[in-house]
Amino acid sequence: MKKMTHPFTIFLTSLVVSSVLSFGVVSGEIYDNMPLVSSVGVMVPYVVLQEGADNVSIIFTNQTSAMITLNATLTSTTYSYTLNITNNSANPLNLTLQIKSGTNLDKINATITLHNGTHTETQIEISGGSASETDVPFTIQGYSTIYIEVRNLVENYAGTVYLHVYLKIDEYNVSTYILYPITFKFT
Amino acid sequence: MEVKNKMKKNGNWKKATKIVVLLISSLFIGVASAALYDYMYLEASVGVEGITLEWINGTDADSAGTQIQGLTATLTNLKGPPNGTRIYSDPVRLNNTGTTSVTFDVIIEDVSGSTDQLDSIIVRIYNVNSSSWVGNLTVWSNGAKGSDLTGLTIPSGNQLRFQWEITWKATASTSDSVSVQLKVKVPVS
Repeated sequence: MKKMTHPFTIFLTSLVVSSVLSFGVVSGEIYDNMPLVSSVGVMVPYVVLQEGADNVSIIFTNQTSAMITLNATLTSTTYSYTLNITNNSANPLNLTLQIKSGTNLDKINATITLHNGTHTETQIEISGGSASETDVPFTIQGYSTIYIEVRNLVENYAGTVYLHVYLKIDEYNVSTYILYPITFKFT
Repeated sequence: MEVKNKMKKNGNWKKATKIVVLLISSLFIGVASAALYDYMYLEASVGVEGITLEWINGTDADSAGTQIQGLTATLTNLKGPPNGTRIYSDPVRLNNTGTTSVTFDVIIEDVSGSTDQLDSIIVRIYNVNSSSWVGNLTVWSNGAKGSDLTGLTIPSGNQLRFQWEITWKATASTSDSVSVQLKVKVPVS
């Protein structure tokens, strides 16, 4: 009886294995492939960040990111030229400031704007422990400079505050845009 | 005389035998050194398949340098600033011209070139018709290639836009570039 079981087991095993193999072959999948190929390069920035007249900013390599450090006090203070933004192209561009993140925002109140000396667009309000953006673009003309202003900065209580934002540069006549990281540090 | 003839006959037989042996040997050698084949026939009728997905230009096709040839889309002019992020919202779209929805995968085949200067490349996929998010493909991040996206669906008559977000490191220069090869893998039903 044992001698009969052994070959039968082998037969059954073979049957199962061959069935699995056959099923695998029969159900083998067929695909269409649609390649999406790209070459990605580095561009020369045509909008650059520069230190403003208030001398409160650090500009990092390639002038595409910056940190602005301001001293907040109990007395309301306005810094009108914290950072310069220069458009080195001939085309007008829409610029906005977008909030990325922030810490300890309840320690200060302030308004951040973009302006060119005569026209101003409010970008970010910091109040009541949170920051909100207006998403109203400021149009910078070709070959010109505008400025970031921090208006009515007041300290609610002591401590260091960070606000990380992006300068969003809408490119001319397309839906392509560029983001530059800018950090505000309030001490 | 008879003996002489007998000897002559014997000599001829010997020669003939030698020739026959030689011929048979040659035949054996020939057979032994010839390659033998079995033929198994595989016949196929290959037609042109009517795939329902196609690449089409997005609204940023000009600035991205989008070129479409057959099933291949090539973005020839993607660029980003060092230490900043450039977003091409709509360089190329996947269009489903069929009457049924199609499920597909997006495979990252290769990322090569100046990857040491590359911070990240992220491709976000959105449905243009429903204005909804479909999926994010991290092509490159933290010094390594990302993972494939599988099981995405494009409904009948819908278009998906592939938004490219490119971030170079601060030390990148205009001599740096990377080549990215993705592929949309569509199971044939």
